[in-house]
Amino acid sequence: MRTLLVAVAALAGQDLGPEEFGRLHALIRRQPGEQRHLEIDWAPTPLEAQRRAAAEGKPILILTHVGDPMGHI
Amino acid sequence: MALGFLNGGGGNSANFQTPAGENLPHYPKEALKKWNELPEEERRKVKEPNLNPPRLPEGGLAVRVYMRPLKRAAGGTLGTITDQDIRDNPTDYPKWVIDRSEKRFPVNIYAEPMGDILWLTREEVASLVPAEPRAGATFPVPDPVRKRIVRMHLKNGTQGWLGYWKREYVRSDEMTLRVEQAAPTVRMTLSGAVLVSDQADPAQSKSGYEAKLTGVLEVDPAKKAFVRFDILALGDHWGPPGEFTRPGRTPLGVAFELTRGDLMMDQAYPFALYFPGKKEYFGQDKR
Repeated sequence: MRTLLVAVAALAGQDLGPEEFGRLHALIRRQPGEQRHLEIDWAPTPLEAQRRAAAEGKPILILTHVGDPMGHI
Repeated sequence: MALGFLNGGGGNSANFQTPAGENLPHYPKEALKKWNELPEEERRKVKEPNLNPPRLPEGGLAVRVYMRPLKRAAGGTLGTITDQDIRDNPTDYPKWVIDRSEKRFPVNIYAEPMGDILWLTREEVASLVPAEPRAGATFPVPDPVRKRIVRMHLKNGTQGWLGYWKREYVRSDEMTLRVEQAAPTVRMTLSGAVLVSDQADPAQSKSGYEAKLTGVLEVDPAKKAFVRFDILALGDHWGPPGEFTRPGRTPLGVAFELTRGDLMMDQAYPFALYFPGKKEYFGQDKR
């Protein structure tokens, strides 16, 4: 319990200077090589995917997910 | 290959279809074989799907959200979790090695950030900008914005399900904006602290998050728009019960930044619009 409170206090009580804020903010955001599915040239809507597929003569790959797969996956 | 996606559906899945919406076999090789057997005119048919995904409210603001589990490195500094950390410490990262061959799922799948989107309405965006900014002035982050950030975007979802915090679990959620510069842009710093816990006494709690928030928000009056919306929530998370849950209380960071329009995720909708739903997300439920 005591160790837990110290750990939480040390983290929660930390005031971040601009440099450390920037470092940690960047650390948490997507890094190069992560979430690579976001780099795919997705069509923004199913209809546009259908039109592009028909125009290019290609099938459609559909990725489905609970919620929006571009946001949460 | 032209690619598309559909919102919604149960669980994760990938599928192949013709532009007319006819299903192709599930696996890529079989799908391509079937596709190649179709007459050209069948491949070119287009049928408009009957879908109405949620849209950002008119005049609203979309903000990227990244949630990442962290580790405490030597000396107490925070760092990202590496593949080797996960392989070498199965107790600290229970069942994070989903695929021992590492061919189907990379080891660090749970160490990568989980993405989401925060939506603010036009009125909420306006409420974050003082009418007559004055350096040194402070004001609380308005209720709807504060509650949404805490309840809908600070729940650990790094193992695949974002979820949200129940209202009664929010024990404290203080957030303040301070005007640092009034012109030519209005630059504000954000500071705050939140405690979310399934029990009033966090020591008895099975699930919760205690974090400090820091941020920099900047508005350009000439553009009538936010040009910066950087917020960082940093603290310890614990629970919920689940086979992938790290033991004890472990650091979890959440970073917010403006969408830039260069990633498809910028057009996504918030997970919480699906669960618990639009009314509760925008605070329109009767409770």
